[in-house]
Amino acid sequence: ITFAIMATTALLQYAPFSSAADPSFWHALANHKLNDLKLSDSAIPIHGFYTVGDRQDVPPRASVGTESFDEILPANVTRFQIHGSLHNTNTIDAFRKLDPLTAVDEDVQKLWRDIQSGAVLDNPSLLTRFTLMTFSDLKKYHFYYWFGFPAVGLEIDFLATTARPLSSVVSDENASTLFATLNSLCDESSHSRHAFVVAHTDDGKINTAKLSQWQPKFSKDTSKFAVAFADPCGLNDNPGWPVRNLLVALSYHFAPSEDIVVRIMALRRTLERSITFDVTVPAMSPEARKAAGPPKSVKGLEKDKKKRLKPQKCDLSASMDPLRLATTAV
Amino acid sequence: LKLDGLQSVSTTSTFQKTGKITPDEFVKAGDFLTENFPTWQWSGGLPEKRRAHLPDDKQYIIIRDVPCLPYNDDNSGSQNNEVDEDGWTDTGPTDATDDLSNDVADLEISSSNPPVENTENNDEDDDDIDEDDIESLDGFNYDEKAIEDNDNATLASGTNTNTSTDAAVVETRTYDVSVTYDVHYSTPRVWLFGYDASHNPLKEKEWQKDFSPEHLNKTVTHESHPHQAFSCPSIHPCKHAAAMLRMLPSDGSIDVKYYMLIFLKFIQAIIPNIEYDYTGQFEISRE
Repeated sequence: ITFAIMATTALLQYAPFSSAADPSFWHALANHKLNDLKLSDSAIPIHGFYTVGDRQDVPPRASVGTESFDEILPANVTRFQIHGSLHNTNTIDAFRKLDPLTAVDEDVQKLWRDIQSGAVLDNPSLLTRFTLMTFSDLKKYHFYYWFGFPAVGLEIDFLATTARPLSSVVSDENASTLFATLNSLCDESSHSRHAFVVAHTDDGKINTAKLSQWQPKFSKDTSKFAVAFADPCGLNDNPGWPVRNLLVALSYHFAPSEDIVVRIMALRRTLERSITFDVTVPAMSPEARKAAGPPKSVKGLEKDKKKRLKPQKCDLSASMDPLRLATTAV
Repeated sequence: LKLDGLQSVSTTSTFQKTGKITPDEFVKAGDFLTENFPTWQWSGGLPEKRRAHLPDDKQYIIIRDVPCLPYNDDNSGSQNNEVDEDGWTDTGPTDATDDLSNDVADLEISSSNPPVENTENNDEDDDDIDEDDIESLDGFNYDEKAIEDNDNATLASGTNTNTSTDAAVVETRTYDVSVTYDVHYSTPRVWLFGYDASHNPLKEKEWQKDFSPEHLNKTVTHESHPHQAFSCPSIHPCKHAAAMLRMLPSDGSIDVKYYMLIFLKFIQAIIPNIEYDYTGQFEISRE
């Protein structure tokens, strides 16, 4: 007699990104507006990045800096590129009137198209998008902004087993293979380090590959394949935001007819901080697959420090105002 | 006006005797740091502020978003220091920089520092900020029901959450720490830009609390960043060379590439609550 051991599963919850703009970003935005954007208020593509999680007391951060306006984000092993669209407005009134739903929805549609086309399997950095709405009051050095981190979803939520330390399921040797892939910056795989397939070989070792490179046969059995991703979260029980759209992509491409169970490996700064859990990924219906939009979407608008759905203001008058600079400089 | 232009930049290596380094040595030590600890990165800074004695893409080194633990929070209010008219705290006759060079060898300066005396308590500060925000963001009225996600799968995070598990992130202040080359003192120089838990820049009153009163306005001053368009607190480099000399082995057995690791160790003693240092487990090999 065999007993099926049913691991307890619960709704998988994702730690949302917390935005992080440094003063050089606002300076670059001001320059960009004066020199390139001028009065145009159409959305332009920008870059952001996150680093893998390390601590419980710092939220997962989606960062923008002066490099956000570069055509290509300079390669750096600790940074994982994400893709944004910047909606800059020229007046405070235009900023007030900007509809966050419309702005975010453009990115939801982009996400969905990239999942449908399979572009996200080739380049999993496309799984994480942000919408940034801004207005710069350059006379006062006040910068108004609102970030959204859109996500697509299925009709039903994902269920997962309780997260455990990754070290409980992988050996040190296999972990070094995982981290070598996570930290590799070589040309064509530099984006696949955001998320990749892990295959267990017969001799107890593992191989890693791009999501698009193999056709992993996921089933309800998690002993053969797993999916690892670069996790910006540092919590013991929850993963960060990027895995959310990844799971939808897995459903779309790897669960054509029946539900599958995928072992997710959330890679962080160290093996000790990394976690793993098994997710039930529902099969996607053919209708949903063909639909112009995702079955469900999440706007992911960032809340202000009082947990209200409102834009935030960054006041740099104390550090950017040249008059004040002149009086404080020694 | 660039005073650097008038200053001759030393190219002779003297760090074993003086604790000072040349721009080339700054690059060598910076390369070693960034290669071994990639959270530290080279930056080119603003093109108009570039210094010719450093490579365009290696003007300064930066590490972002480093957690900062509350400074001596548990002792707050236990000292009665005099606060002058500008709100600066004067701790009396102690010369912080002398202290520094005396104590730097055992790196224990921080533990005995008296706490910052605040003229207002934290809650009042927070209220000020919120009122400011409400006023300036007046007129931002959104249909919250329409833009709310009502999404169970989004983890509630932040300090106001009721979650009882460790899912509740205890949010911490963070700092961007940058290290520039100071031509006048021929040493690295540290700049600190702080953020609150929402990643909004700290106000002066707020970041002052993260430094010991001994160092504030003496060792730590608010100045214009040499490669960026903002000003921020900086650790004044006037005693850096002397302190570095004390920390370097006297037998001349160390490669200059380790300079930055030792320098950061030394700076950590001045700002012990800003946890940038990943160099702890690193073993420096003697030649």
